[in-house]
Amino acid sequence: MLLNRRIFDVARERVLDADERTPTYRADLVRTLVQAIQAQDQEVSERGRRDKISKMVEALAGQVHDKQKES
Amino acid sequence: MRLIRVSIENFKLLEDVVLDFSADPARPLTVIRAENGSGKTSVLYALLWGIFGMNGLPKEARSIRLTSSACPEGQPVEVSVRIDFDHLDDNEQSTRYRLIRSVTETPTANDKFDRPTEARLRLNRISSAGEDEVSAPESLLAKLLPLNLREIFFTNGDAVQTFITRESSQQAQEKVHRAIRSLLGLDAMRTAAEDLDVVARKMGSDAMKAGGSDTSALQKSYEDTDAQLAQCRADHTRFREQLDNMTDERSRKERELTALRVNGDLDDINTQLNRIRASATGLESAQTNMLVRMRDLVRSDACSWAFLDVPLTRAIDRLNELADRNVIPGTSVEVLVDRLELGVCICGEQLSVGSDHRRHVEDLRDEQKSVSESSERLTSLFHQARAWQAEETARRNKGDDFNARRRAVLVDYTKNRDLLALASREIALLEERRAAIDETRVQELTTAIARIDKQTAEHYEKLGELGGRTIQLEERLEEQRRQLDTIEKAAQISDKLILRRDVARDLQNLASKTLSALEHDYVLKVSQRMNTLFMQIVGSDPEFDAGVFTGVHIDERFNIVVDTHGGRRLDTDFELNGASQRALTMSFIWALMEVSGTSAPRIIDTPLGMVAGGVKTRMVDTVTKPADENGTDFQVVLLLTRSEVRDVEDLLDERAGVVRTLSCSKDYPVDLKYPWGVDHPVVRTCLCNHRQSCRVCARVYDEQHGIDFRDLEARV
Repeated sequence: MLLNRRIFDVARERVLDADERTPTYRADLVRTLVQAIQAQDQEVSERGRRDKISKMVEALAGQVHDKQKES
Repeated sequence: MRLIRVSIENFKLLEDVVLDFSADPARPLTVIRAENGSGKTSVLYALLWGIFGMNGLPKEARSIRLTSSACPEGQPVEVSVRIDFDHLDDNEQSTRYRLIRSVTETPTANDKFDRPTEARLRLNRISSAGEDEVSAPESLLAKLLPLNLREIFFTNGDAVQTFITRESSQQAQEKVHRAIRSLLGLDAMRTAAEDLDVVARKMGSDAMKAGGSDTSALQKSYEDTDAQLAQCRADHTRFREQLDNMTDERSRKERELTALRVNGDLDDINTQLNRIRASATGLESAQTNMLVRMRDLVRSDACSWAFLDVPLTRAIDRLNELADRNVIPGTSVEVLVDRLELGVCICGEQLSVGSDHRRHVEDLRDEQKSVSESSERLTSLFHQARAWQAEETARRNKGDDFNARRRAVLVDYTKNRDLLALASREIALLEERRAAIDETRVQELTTAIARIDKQTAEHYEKLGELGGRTIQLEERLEEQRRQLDTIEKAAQISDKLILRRDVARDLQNLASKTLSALEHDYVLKVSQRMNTLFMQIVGSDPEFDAGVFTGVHIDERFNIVVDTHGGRRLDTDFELNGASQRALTMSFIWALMEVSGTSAPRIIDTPLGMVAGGVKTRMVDTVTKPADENGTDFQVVLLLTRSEVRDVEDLLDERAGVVRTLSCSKDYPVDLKYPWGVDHPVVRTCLCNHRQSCRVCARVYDEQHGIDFRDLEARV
């Protein structure tokens, strides 16, 4: 997408307010947000898009859970 | 996207034209020099058609014949546009693409055509391994250059001038809003924030449901409050928007009313008219009285004395002389009658009836009778004349002479006449001004403004209520949230569910903050940058009182506003000259692309048409200045005529990485100096830059403008 670079920059600035649940958590949040935006290009329906985003959230939460368990 | 090269075949008069574009970030400018009718617009259209297809062309050009009208009827012609470009992806990886759009068109009679199939589009990714065809080219192109933003990337001087004007202000500003939303990614970001909000709520609800009936009930209550709060905020936004629209509507109506009242306020004019008409009536009445005075004066004895003083005096002298000689008053008839009655003549002789003496006296009496009528009149005149003379002498002795009275009445009359003429002129002028005011429309507007004012007051009241309600709901929500947190700890809810909900909330928070930063901080950056560029181009100093502009900005509704002294806003349609309108649009586009980091090309056909002097130099300087270290590299392509090039040659020397010249054979021999030996109109390109000419492009007036002739056929 043409615009993600600027959104990516802004999100990287704003993510600093979030708790760093794992060493890469903030970067993961930004990456997932960009993916959530990109879902608009890939999924035509609102429901399909939100299902896809739910899965992204579940995947990220799973990673955090695993990393927290490891540490 | 960065353009590298375009090859155009059989598109209008561009039979076989290849143009390179500067890809050098230090010299971001490409100049295509061409006179009117030499293919500038065709190049622009070819690029638009190549990238977007027919939908990319301006509405009025979507049904045009693509081939030259010189192409013979019945012979199919292959029209094609090939564009090589680079694209830097999100990972800063540059990829070279080759786009080819082509279609077969068969010219038919009356300049019509037959195009049996849609144009074919092929997009190849070029790498060292070769070319790899992109499977969904339209979709990729739409992402790289969205169709609805083509006016930002590809435009012409007129469109630049009317970008924020001409159409209804709502439509014009809508283009501005669309560009901001699209290039700053606001629409995409808002959709993502809404999606994440829904997902976070769903995950929160799922987690609470897993905590048992108490948490589930509290969660339900929390969600109800949240829904009410969302509704309250939505209502607040709706009322706020309505209020903004009402403010706009009021200012539009107020402006129209002011324009209608440029001749004055109707009530004021009517009051003035009534006053002046009453005054005119008084003056007319005074004039009638003065005419009576004049008539009486003309009829007066004094007037006779004034005009007949000498002959009258002479006549009176004659009457006095007659009186001195006792000719008047005449008395002989009475004496003779008396004698006849006494029967004794004055000599003592008897006047017996029938005597000769008596007959003689009777004849004498009859003779004297005829003389006496004249004498009587003279006598009467004598007495009357003496009386008139006495009156006139008395009048003169009192200083009341005719000439003084005449002068007085004439002065009064003239003064009155002039005042009446002035009043008549004022009445005519006021009636003319009143006629220019559309009374019905003034009444409509006045009523509408009063209605809007009433609605505005009601909306402010409603907003106040909603503000109070919002605070209450926020407090309640916060309390319920605390209760949920407490109850959540006691409840046996899976860590995974809680973590999933929290991650979703983190993401939703991040999306909201990012959106907010883009909507406020980044729009503000665009606004500030636009102001800097605009003031730079128009050469205005905001501190200087005599300057027209104090600045430009983008308001909270993303409207472009031009500020002037006294906190007033200028109407971009009527209060901005053509050059300033162009400067404003270019400043907006440049600022927006700069702040959004968009690397798409900016191609403008004839941008400097109405721009001259310092503004022209500063405009070219501003739009061609290479990006600084932290900025996004850009590419600007200007299609310029020789007169547009004039006075900015030095800047083009410095900023242009590529300069090419387009010429059309139809211009020989009137404008083109050398024939090309072709039998139909065709456009060719040559390597001449803005200071050069050759056997392809030399024009008859080039020498006068110091253009250096190179005696070669430098055709590409």
